[in-house]
This record gives sequence, structure tokens and C-alpha cells, in this order.
Amino acid sequence: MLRPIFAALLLSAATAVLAQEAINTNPQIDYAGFQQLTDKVASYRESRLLSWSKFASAAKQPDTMILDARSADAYKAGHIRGAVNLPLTDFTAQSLARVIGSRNRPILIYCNNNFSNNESPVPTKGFQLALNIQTFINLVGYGYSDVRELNEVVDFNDRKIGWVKGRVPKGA
Amino acid sequence: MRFLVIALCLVCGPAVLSAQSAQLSQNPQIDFDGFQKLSAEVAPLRRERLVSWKQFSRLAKGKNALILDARSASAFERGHIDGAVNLPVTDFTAPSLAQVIGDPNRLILIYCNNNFRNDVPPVALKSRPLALNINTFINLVGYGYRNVYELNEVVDFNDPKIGWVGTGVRQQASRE
Repeated sequence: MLRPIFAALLLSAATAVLAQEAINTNPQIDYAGFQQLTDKVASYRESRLLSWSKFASAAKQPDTMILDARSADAYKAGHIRGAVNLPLTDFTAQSLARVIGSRNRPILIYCNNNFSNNESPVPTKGFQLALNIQTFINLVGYGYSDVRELNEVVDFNDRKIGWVKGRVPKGA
Repeated sequence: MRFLVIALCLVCGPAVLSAQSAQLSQNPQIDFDGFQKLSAEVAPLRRERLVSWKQFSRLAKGKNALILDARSASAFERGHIDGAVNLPVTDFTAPSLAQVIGDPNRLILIYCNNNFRNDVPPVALKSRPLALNINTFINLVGYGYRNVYELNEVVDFNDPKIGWVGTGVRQQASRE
């Protein structure tokens, strides 16, 4: 007797929530979809973390690319030799296809929070807001699944890193 | 006695092993779990902070309100909503946000590519779950700025009411 009433109540609550969502949602933005994607990436990423020595040897493999998703200014001021820049803010299906090409291409990522320096152009971000997290989620979300992330904290003055210095960004 | 040792190994062994592998597999400066928790915390807050264009433009006129545009500097230079200030989400840090925003209680209004139906540079559409507003909202709350409102409408940057500043409009105009 109680069960059908309970089920009916649940159903009406769900409908109310759906109606609310319909009013509140920009059809071009899907927050729930982002959370689902993030959950999916969480476990996958665990198996895709590399030490510096593995990262450096992977980078030498043919067709593998190092993708630097920081700002263009930060990239110009300093980056790992051989890295290609496409800022996360400019990621779209088209821009990624242009820069990466095949969705099966092996991609290596690193960010500010891989450096112990904590100075421009790699000031440390909040640990839960490290750019690698968002870059990883975005790449998988756009269909690039062969992503590996540098999992070490290094010093850009360490010669093995091959840091390329450029001009200092505006405002730094 | 032997039984006790075996029992101890069974209980403690996996704990020691998992602690070791967690240490090996984590950069101490990156916290993915924390990001997931933060995203879950922001979800209900954001739902209450979605505003129409009408509300957005009214709030923007408020004293001390800030329209924050978190797209790339080059995209911002090509076109943005009049009065917006640019700090790309890639450049967010505690000090850079403090410099641009100041007071953590300041009213912040955000918009992104996916608020426009134009789908041309500098507001080329991103995928729906990867809209920049999602990231910007989570980042602002994560850095302690909770008084955030997000534009919840899809608009046309050629609509004069939007007050679009930049080349986007001129390009459109020259085509006509």
C-alpha cells in the first residue's frame, strides 16, 4: 500500500526537479554532464600519471606531443622544450583537431603545479584547481583519450627539464 | 603466535601497501578528489545564481559589481561585453584574483563563449559540459569568491543591448 504512494511521490518530486532544470538551464551549458565526465576521468587518470623520466622518454616517441594548456603569455615566458601551446580557454572541437590531429595521438600534459618554483610563469594554483585536472577532463571530454600527465614536482632551473625561457609576460 | 602474526599481516599489509601506492601516484600539489568535491559543492550554489540578461545587466550597474571575462586575453581583445575585465582562468591564482577582484565578497558576474549563439571567434562554442562558465564558477568559489552570478541566456553579440566591444561586430557589419 505504502510503496505505490512512495513511488508516486518520488515521481512527482523528480518531475518538479526536471521542470526547474528546464527553466534554469542554458541549453549550451551542461553542469551535470561536466560532473559525470569528471567522475569518469578520476579513475582513468590514476593510471595515466608519469614520473619525469617516463614523461621525458614518452616525449621522444614518434607522434607523441607535449601539450601546454597555460595562457599564451605564460607559455611565451617559459615552457618545456618541444611543448605546443593551446590555452585551455581556447579549447574547442575545431581548435583541438587543428593542433592535435588524430584523436588517438599520445598527449603529455604538465602545468604550473608541476613546478616547485611558484613564480611567474608557473605560479602555483590552488591544489584542487591545478590546470592539469581541468586539461585532462577537457581532453577526454573532446574525445582525446591517450592522455598522460606529469606527476612530479620539478624545478625549471634543473637542466634535465629543458626549460625554454622567453620574454616576461605583461604585468608580471 | 603464528596465527597472530599472519592475522596482523593480513590486516596491516594492505593498509601499508595502499598508503605507499597513494604516495607514489600523487603529485602533492594536485588534488583531483578535492576538485570533485568542490564541483559537487558548487552545483547547488550555481543553480541559485543563474540570471537572465535583464538581471545580469541590472546587477552589473550595481556599485562595486564586476563583470569578469575569464576567456583568453586574445579572445577578450577581439571582443567582449562592455565594462568586462579580463583574467583568463588559466592565469587564476590566489594573488592574481586578489589583485583583479579585491574584496572576496565582491559581486562578480560571469559569461563565456557558450552564452552566444554566434559560434564564431572570439566566442566559438565549446562543448556543453566543457563550457568555460562551469570552470570559472568552480575556480572562483574554490579561491573563496562566492558572490558569483552567471549569465544564463544565449544572446547574439550583434544585439545592441549586449554592448559588445570589439572586432566581432565590425566583421559582421562589413559582411552586410
